[in-house]
Amino acid sequence: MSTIFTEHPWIAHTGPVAPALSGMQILQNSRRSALKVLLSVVSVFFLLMIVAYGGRMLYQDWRPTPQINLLWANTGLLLLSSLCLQVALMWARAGQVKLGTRRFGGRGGFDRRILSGATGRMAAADSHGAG
Amino acid sequence: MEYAAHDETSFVRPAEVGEMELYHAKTWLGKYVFSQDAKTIAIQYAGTAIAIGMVALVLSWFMRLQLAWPNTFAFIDPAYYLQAVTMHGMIMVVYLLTALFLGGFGNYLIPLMVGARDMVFPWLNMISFWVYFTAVVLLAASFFVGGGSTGAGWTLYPPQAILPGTPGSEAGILLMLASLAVFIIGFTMGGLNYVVTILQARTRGMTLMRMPLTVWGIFVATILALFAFPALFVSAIMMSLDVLLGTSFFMPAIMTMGNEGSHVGGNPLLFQHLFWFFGHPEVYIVALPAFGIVSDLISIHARKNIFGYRMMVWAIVIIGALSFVVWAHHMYVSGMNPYFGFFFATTTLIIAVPTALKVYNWVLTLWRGNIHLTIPMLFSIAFLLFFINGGMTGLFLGNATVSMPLSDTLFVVAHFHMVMAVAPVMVVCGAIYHWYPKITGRWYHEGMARFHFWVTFVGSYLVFLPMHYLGIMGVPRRYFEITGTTFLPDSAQSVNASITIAALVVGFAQIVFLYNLITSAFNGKKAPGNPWNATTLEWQTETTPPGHGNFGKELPCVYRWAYDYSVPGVEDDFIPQNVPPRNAQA
Repeated sequence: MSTIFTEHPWIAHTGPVAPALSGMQILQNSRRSALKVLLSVVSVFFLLMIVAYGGRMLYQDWRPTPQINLLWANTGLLLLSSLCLQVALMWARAGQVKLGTRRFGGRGGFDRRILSGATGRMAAADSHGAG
Repeated sequence: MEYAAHDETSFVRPAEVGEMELYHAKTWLGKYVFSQDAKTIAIQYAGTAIAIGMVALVLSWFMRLQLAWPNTFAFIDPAYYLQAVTMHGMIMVVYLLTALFLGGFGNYLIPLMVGARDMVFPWLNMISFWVYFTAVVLLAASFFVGGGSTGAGWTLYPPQAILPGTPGSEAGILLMLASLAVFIIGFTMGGLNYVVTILQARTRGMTLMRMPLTVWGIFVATILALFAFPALFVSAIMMSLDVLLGTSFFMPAIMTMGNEGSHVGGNPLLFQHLFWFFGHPEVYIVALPAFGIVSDLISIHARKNIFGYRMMVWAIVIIGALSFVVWAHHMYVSGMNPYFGFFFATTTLIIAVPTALKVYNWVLTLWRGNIHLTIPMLFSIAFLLFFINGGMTGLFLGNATVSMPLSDTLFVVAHFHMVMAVAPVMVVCGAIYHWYPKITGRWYHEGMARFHFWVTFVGSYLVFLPMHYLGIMGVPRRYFEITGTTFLPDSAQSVNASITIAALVVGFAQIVFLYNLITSAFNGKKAPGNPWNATTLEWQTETTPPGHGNFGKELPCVYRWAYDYSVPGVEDDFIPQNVPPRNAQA
C-alpha cells in the first residue's frame, strides 16, 4: 500500500516478481479484510442510527421507551456473550479450540436467552401500552 | 511480433496451484441460474437492471406524453403521473445505474482486470444477485398493490410520502422502503466481494497503481456505496416505523385532509439529511465507475496512454471523499442557516476542482491521439460533451443564491439528467459495445450501433438542452399540468411537445440497441480475442468468451500499467500488461 504514493506506474517492472500466494493464503487474507470492511459498514449503520435517534430525542415531545428491568438483564447477557467470544478467540489463537468448544458450548444458549429477552421486552412494552 | 506470457530469462515461475478453488456447477440450474461465476452473475445483474430500466423508460414516456399533450391520454391522471415520476427516478438511479455499474460491470471486469479467477466469495456473490432480484420484484410488485406504487417523488420526503392523498401512501411506500432495504443488504454482500477481491486477489505484479482506471472507479464507488447506503437503510427503517407503528421520527404534528394527524413532533428535515447523506454520494457511485471506464475507452481508442494517470486516481479518491460533505446543497430551500449553506456551497465548488482535472486529462489524452471513431469512442466523446454541459450547470446550482430560485424548476431536472443520467448512460453504451466482443465472442451490427449512437446523442440533446430554458423561464418540475399560467408563453408548451417527440425517438433507439445486442449474440460475426488491441488482462484470456476461472492454467503476471499505447521504439502500438520488458522490444 505504501508504494501507492511513490510508484511510477508508467515504468515497466524489471525487478523480481513476488511469488504467488496459495489459494488458502488468499482466502485467509480475504476473510480478514471482509470482516474489517463489514464491521466498518455495520459501525456506520449504528452510528447513523444513534445520531438520528439521538437527534430525535432532543425534541421536547420525546417519549422515552419504558424502563423495564429486563433491559439490564439483556445488557448483562450481551456483555457476557461478548466476553465469551473474546475468550474463545484467545483460546483459538492459542490452539485450544477443543477446550473452548467444550467449555463455551453454551454460548449459543446466551444468544438464545438474549433473543428471548428481546421478545419478552417487546411483550412488556405492549402491556405498558407504549411502542 | 510474438509475445511470451512469462519472462523465462528472469526466472519468473508461473503461479503454482489453483490460486483459488472454484466451484464447478454440475447442473444447468447451477451453471446458469444459481451460478457462482462472476461473469454469469454480471450478465444476470445487467439483464435484470436493463429490464427494470426499460420499465422506467416507458414510465418516462408516459410523463412526457402528459406534459406535451395534457389530458389527452385517459390513463394518465395526476396520481399516475406522480407515480411514474417517482418510480422512473428511483429505478433509474438505484436499480438500473447502480446495479449495472457495480453489479454488472463490477462483476464482469474486476476479476478479469486484476487477474483473479473469480470473486473471492463466489457463493456470497450469487446470493447478492438473488437478493437484488428480490428487491426488484418487491419494487415491481408495488405497481400492482392497492393504491399503486408510491408517488412521493424519488426522494420520498416525509411527511407527504406517507400521508393520505399522496399516491401509494398505503402499501406502495412500504414496498418501496422494503425493496430499498433488501437492495442494500444485497449490495453490501456484493460490495464486500468487489472491495476484497481488489484488495486481496490481484495477480502478481498488479500493484494498486497498475490497475486500470475502470477498476479504480468501481473500487472507490463501491466503498462510497458501502458507507452511504446505511444512511438510506436507517431512514427506510425509521420511516417504516412511522408508517407501521405510529412513531414520529420524521412525522411532525400535522393537519391532514382536514383532520389532526396522529403524529407529533417528528422532524422531516432529519429524513432529508439522512437521505442526502446517501443521495449525494449516490451521484458519484454512478459517476466514478463511468469516469474510470471512459478513461480506459478514450485511451484504448485514441491509442494513447491516459494523461496524468496518478492524478486521475487521486481525483477519483478525492471526489469520493468530498462527496460525503456536500449533501446539504440539495437542501438549500429547506430553511437552513445561511452559514450552513455557505459551507456546503464551498465544498460543492471545491469538488469541481478534481472533476475538472479529470475532464482536462480526458481532453489531453485525446489531444494528438490516433483517434479511432469506433462506437465506444463515439459514446466516450458524447459522454465528455454531456458531462461538461451538466457540470457547468452544476456550478450554478452549487451556489445557494442561484440555486434557490431554480430549485423546483426544470433547470434542475435538465442539469441532473445531463450529468448523472445521460452522461453515465453514454458510458454504459460505450462500455457494452467495447466489451461486447469479449462477452459474447461476436461483433454487434455496426450499422445499428451507429444509428443507436447518433439518435441517442442528438436526441438526448434535443430533450435536455431546451429543458434548461424552460427551467429558467420558471416551468416547475413535478407538475402534472402547466397550462393556464400567465407567466409562461404558449411557446413553452411547444417546447415541451418537441422534447416529448425527441424523448420518444431516443427511447425507440434503445429498443434498436437491445435488439442489436440480442440478435448479434447469436448471429454476429465471430470476434477475435483482442479486437481493439487493448493492453488490459481481460483481453489476454485464452478463450473468448473467457471460461470459468477466467485464465488458463496459469494466472497472468503483470509487468506494466494498462496504458502502454504507441510506446516509442516498439513495433506494435500496444504492449499488454502481462508482457515482460525483455519481450516488448521491437
